[in-house]
Amino acid sequence: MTESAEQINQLRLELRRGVVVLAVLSQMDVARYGYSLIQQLAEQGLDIEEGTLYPLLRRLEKQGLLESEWEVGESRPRKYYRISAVGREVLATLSADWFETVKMMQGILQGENHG
Amino acid sequence: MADLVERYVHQVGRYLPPKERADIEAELRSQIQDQLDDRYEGAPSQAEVASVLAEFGHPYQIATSYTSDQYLVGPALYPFMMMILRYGWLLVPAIIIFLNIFGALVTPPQTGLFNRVVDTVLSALQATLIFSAIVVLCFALIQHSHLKLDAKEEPFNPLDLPEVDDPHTVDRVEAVSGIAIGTLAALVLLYFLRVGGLTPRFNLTDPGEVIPVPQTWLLLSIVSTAGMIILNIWVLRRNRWSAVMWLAQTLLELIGVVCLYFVLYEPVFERLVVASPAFGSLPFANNIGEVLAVLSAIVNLLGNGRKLVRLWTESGSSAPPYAVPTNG
Repeated sequence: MTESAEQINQLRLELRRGVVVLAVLSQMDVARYGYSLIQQLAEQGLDIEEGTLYPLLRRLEKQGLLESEWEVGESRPRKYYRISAVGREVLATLSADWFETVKMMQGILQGENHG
Repeated sequence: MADLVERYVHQVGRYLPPKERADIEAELRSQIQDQLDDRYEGAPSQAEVASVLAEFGHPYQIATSYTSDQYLVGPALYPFMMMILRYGWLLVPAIIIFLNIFGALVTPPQTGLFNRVVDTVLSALQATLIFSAIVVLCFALIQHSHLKLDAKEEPFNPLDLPEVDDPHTVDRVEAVSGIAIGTLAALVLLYFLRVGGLTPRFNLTDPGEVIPVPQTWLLLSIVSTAGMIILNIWVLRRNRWSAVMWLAQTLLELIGVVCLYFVLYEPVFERLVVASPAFGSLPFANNIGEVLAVLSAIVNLLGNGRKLVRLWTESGSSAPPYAVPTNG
């Protein structure tokens, strides 16, 4: 990988970091286990690596934004995550921020002064 | 197949915090299995399992992504630690080398010069390492006890920034170093008082040969050192030098210089003149202690005098040289 491609990759990762949290929270109204969430997000065009998503779920749980429960009735035990009441409030705020940011960035990137 | 997954999960678990290990391992196992079932249905081959595990990443890498940033001394404390270490790396070897030279002068070594030099270098190295270890340990304790060096959580106010070259400004590192070195010196002086004089051997039960020192001067030097420690603590709390405080500091330093003459220079050089006639025949050999004391006093007065004059002339206006905002 060339130096600039590597740099772009790094910047892209930084850009996505916050978005992933928002995307995950938005999908957790229904209880989901890790792999089902990966598939759900992939179907909507967002590919997240396992090594990123699984630790993130635990981190969000520690922060009180998700709740979890082990389901042992299935073929194998699975840990299901679901958004908490606090998580719902955070999601509402972050979503509003996101739409505002998108609008603002569109203005900045497509504005007259751009380029 | 199961064996490879187990081997992977076990390796990840090795780097996980013990409290969470079992839960993360169980979850990881189930996540890998979900992926294998979805992708290969039935019994995947060893190579297929390996390709899924490769996507998860190296066990160490995935384990660290489960834990928050871990460090002995974090970025907020690191600059303070390095500042103290840099001071110590200069000071500690210098003190050890000085003590060894002092020891060699007072009690001429039985071993050769080469061995003495090697011993000195090794002991300086050892003391520096011990010093570094203690400093790092102290900072690690501060880091993990969630203490903050500057406990005051006052909001930053740019108007409070000190003037460039403001004589009232307290160099906090210098003050803290002064307190630490002063405490060490006071302990050494107390030891000398206890054993009745100077000796490079720090052993209360067996201090070795002791050079007698006037006890009154030894006591006065302890008092002036203690005075400097108290003054520096006071200045640290007040965070501002006043003319009177700087005068007190200067006077205490001058008393220290005089004490040093009676407690160190005179007895040591007197002993040297007796022990080494060649040294005694040198010009000023009999007055070298006085010369050193006068030079130290001049350096002290020149160093402190300018600041004292500035503090004195500026003390007419009691208000600080910047506007203090009032709440509301």
